[in-house]
Amino acid sequence: MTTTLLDPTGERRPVERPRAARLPGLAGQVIALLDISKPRGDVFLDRLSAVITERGATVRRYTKPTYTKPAPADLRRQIAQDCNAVIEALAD
Amino acid sequence: MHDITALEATGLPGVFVASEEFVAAAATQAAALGFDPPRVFVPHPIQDRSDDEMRALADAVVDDLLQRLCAS
Repeated sequence: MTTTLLDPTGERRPVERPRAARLPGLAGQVIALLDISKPRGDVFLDRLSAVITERGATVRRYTKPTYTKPAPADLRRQIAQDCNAVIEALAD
Repeated sequence: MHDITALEATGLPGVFVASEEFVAAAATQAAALGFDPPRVFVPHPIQDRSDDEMRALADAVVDDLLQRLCAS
């Protein structure tokens, strides 16, 4: 007996999504550093935080509860509300 | 990548950092999502590196990261 599986979510070609506009510069911006909670990522982000701060931006740190799934919607909402850009690290 | 994709959809420019082991997977995922997020790769492995090595990795890519966030 043949089984046919229909996937209602399947796309032959996904819709192409454009990137958001880039920042005009770094000075005065608020940059989110999102830690995915893998080991050693915090040390990496600590250094990024120091450098980015030296260059005139404000850094806000955020941490995902787990790297095994996307960040919770509330966390993403807070980052989008409070910051001008985001760097997420560090997957290995 | 899902997080950066979702945040970029809100208008927030983003970039993610992953080890080189993720180069192919990131390309595949970008094609599947229909979104090509800015990304920077660092040498693998990560977890057995010293604090100094991790700081050196950050120093090596910070300019690239910031260039990918900024228009100029």
